[in-house]
Amino acid sequence: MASGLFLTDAQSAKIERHLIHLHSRAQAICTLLADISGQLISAVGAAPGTDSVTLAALAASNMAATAEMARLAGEPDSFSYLFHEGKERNIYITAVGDTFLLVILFDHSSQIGWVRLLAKKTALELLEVVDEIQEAGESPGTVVDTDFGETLANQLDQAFEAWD
Amino acid sequence: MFINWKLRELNLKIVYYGPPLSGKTTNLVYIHSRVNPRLRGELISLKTKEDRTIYFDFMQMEMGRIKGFKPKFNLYTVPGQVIYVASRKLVLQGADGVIYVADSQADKLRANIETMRNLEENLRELGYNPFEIPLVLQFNKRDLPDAIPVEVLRSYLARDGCPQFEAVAIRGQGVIDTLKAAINLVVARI
Repeated sequence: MASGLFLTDAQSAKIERHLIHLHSRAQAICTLLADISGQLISAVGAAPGTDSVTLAALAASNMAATAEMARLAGEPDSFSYLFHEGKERNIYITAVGDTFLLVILFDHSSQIGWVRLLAKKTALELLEVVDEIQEAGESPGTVVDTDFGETLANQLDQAFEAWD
Repeated sequence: MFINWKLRELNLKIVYYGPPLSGKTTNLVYIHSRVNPRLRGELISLKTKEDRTIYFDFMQMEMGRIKGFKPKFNLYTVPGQVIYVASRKLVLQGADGVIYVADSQADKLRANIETMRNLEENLRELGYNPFEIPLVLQFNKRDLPDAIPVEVLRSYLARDGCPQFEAVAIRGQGVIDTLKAAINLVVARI
């Protein structure tokens, strides 16, 4: 948990491929993979007003609240998915293993049953990829050196100074 | 920490922790209002009717590319109230650094100490060594008449070498310095 997640080019491409496939077959508005800490891993598609970074953070908290409800309800495992139905938009969230979530935002041009089926299949496919990435990958030590730190500190100063 | 080598992005998570009403959300609101809008996302606040944080507040801030890498910072606050322990643990998950916002008022000393203990417990449960995670201390509400001396707060809350800042978050004093110190500390630790 404390160690971090390092996604290689190849792993990233694989995840994207699965997400794009699901996204187009489900005719989704936005499809994303996040981890349970709320970190967005990869996203496909977007609609005006859809901030995938924030959506990932909120979906993770939603899933965590649901896990807590499962515990209170005496469910030995956790609830495996969440579905929010709106007038115009729906959100389907499903767990990918213990540490990741698949989120699909779609409208009424897609049937929930179809989305659910595709999500289930994609979650299994993604599980194979994310199993590889969990503890592996190249660390950023080679990039993040003293120079990096100094440049970042300067950029931070500028990010706030401009508004003084 | 999440590194995407394809997009060359470095994502880091910094969590504001502290007792109820110590000013965690106030810190984030000020940062959001002060940082260049091109560099930040929306500020999301999940509050109760009484304006208390229930799940968390969240915003993302990004910097320009450095050596080809784009650093992005996910800033979270946790709810201070005891009943939201589960939310606090969730938000701490994957944290790369913690900013502890202490309330300087005399009658909040016990809450400060207990919340620090709770932070350490939660970190341990999540697999961290609580004394190794980058930590920055902010002594907030220094403008209040019943603020106790910083030395007292320090003696209960500080650990060796941890950066410390006095703040009046409601006026923005000390807020940006605290954040910068946390970011620099987290990046230096990579």
